[in-house]
Amino acid sequence: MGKKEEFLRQKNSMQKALKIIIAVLGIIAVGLTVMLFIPAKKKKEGAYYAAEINYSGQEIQMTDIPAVVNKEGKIEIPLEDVQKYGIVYVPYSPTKPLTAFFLNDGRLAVAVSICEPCQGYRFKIQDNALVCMTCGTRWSLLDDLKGIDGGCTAYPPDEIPYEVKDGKILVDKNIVDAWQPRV
Amino acid sequence: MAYIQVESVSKKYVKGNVETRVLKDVSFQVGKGEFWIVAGPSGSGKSTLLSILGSLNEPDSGRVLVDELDLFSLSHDERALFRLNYLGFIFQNFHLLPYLTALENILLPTLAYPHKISKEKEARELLKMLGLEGKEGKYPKELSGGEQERVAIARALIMEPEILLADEPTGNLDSKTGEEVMKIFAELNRRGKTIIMVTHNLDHLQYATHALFLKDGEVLEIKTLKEAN
Ligand SMILES: Nc1ncnc2c1ncn2[C@@H]1O[C@H](COP(=O)(O)OP(=O)(O)O)[C@@H](O)[C@H]1O
Ligand SMILES: [Mg+2]
Repeated sequence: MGKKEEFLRQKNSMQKALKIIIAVLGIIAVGLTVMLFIPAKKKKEGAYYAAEINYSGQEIQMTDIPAVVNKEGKIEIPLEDVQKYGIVYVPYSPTKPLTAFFLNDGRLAVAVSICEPCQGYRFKIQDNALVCMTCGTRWSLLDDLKGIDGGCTAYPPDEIPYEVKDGKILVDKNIVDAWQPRV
Repeated sequence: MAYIQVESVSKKYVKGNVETRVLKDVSFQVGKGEFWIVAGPSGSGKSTLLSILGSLNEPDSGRVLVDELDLFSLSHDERALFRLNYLGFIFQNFHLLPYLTALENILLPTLAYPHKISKEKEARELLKMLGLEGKEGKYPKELSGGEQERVAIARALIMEPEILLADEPTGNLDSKTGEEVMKIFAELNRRGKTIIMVTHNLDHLQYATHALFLKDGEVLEIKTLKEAN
């Protein structure tokens, strides 16, 4: 099969799936319209917030910490480590390392530590931005990882849900195992 | 219509009230099987142009058509599919995942494919073709710079892309190793791959069929160096 036929075939099957998703979304949208009357909250639902931070003039490299999986199937990251080191690298699996750091508004972000287009896996914090060490793309820590510049701005490290309990960040192992690169 | 058709592509970046026009009305056409080198001073817009050709970055105006597909009329997901089917990327910092062996690194893109596929046989063939036989089980830190670059090339080739986009692939290599890598690109081109490579090493022009010189975001000159085969 030629490249184009293969591409068009995959595109069509994706569009079919999309139609179903759009139908479902339409139904959800009706429900959401009701919720529109409730004013939008500034803080993200389910996120952990520490004090606000200003990274101006700072450069923080990643610190590696071991990946620990508890018997409930949760990956444990000590909150204290993130506070101490600023940005941590957790080699949960070779293809799915995790990272955790704080945004300027104090929100804790946990994400798969991969810049998917360039396949870089290491980042640093510099001047209120998250920076990919491979391609140099920068995402704003002031504005929910919105792209600032570089080749991969559309793909900040993919954030995953977590909860914080007894000083530990807990990430569901199943969610990480099922995670797939977007590009 | 040309295989890759770049029509009046412009791109500007705005920071505060400062506007930088990074690409100004860039147009050119690449035929299937051609080997283009994009050269120009640092900051002239080479990487931006390459990322637009790779659909990783959107132009403000103009169009890019590849195999008659208008890239920026595709949705984000369709573009991801396009990249997976058509493109192989090779960057200067070929950063391979350190916890994966050479073979596993090469197989990484296959994990992103919508339906799981096994390409181990192909990966082993690529290792052989690139002179990395016996290195499949080695980790990146056990490989030389040139070997790591070749693993990155194999990774770009594993999905059998028609087009290779390379941004200064020899930028971190000594000149002898860089030369060997260029010979690999020349061989890939001889086997029919369309290649667009950013470099400022003008010695590399001997391998290319065309050269495009950028300056301040404008096309200064397009040269045909030799016929594509
Ligand atoms: N995302 C971006 N936001 C703002 N400016 C950018 C961005 N990407 C590149 N630039 C600027 O655009 C110009 C061209 O950059 P680039 O395409 O990387 O050039 P080259 O690869 O030729 O060195 C430079 O002045 C650079 O600072
Ligand atoms: Mg560049």
